[in-house]
Amino acid sequence: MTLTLLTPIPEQTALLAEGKLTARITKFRPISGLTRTRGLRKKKWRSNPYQFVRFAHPVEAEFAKVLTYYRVRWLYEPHQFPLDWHPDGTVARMFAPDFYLPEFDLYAELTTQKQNLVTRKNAKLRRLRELYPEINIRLFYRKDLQRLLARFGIAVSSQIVTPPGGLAL
Amino acid sequence: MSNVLPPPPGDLSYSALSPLISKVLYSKENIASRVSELGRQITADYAGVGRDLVVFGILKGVLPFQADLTRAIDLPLQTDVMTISGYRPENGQAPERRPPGVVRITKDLDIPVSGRHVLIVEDMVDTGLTLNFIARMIRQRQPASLAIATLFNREANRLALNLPIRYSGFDAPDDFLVGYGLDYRELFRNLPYVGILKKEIYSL
Repeated sequence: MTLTLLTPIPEQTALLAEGKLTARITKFRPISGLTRTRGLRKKKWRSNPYQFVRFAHPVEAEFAKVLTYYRVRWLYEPHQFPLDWHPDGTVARMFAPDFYLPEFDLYAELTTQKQNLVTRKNAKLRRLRELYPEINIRLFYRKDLQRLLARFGIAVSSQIVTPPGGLAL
Repeated sequence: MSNVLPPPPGDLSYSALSPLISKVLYSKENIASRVSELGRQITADYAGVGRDLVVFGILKGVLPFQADLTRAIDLPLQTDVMTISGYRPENGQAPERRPPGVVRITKDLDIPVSGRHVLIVEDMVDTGLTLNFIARMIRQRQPASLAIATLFNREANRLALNLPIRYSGFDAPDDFLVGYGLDYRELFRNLPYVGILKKEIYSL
């Protein structure tokens, strides 16, 4: 019986030097499930993008829907503007307007707080206008939103008061 | 058939709705006078364009204003109306769960506007979103010129900053106006005056 000698296993470094050990990765085909998930996600995004944006307040979601309805592109809180800095140069106060409308180069900030509680927001806005005078920004107060969204049949508050005389509107 | 409504007290002839209005802002006479002025101004500006003036409005709020304004313009012109689907949320569903709709033209212009002078008539320009959509679409049809005439202009809430508003009747105050075409849930359109809707009607 003769022994057949096996060829020695070559060292990796030797193969690398010869150029034989190339990383051969076969073309990655996404698993069909993954493709399907991506497809569904895309479809879902097209059918309802609001599921993918985390709005801070339902009124903002309504506002976004009104904009989309009128085919106006919007971005939700895309930019942050530093307003104040600590002595070491780090940012102490920022302001991120709720919406940016690229078509009009306009920022919109919505507030549902009562008029007497919006002092801080007004101060922030004043500071923003001082530091960045080139920025167009509109602040929508609670009463503006109520009136604006009422035009579209949306109540800012959930309660609807029956008008005097009992006329159901 | 007997009249079920009580007799009208003076100018406030729509007694069923008048308790819901806190103040009459512009009377019938105020509006008529301002509309005549706008008509004269438009007549002077478009005197040279011959038969090429097309005036159209967006239903439904514009009806009284368009009817009065076109009669105040002393020029040959063609009128038309356009209807777009209004934003109507489905109640009882969280906004993020509702599929978004988009504005559609439900009745387009019957008159071609390409190469002609177009005047869009609107009852009120607030955010300008509706008019922005209409103006964008009309520009694609390449009119000779495009201008907007509005009875009420409220610039404080304007989002569409690029609208060519050339004629404006009144600067609208920061209130909910109804009457003379302006509605709240389809009511009040037939009031001959413009009043301020009581706040408790549309909000808390």
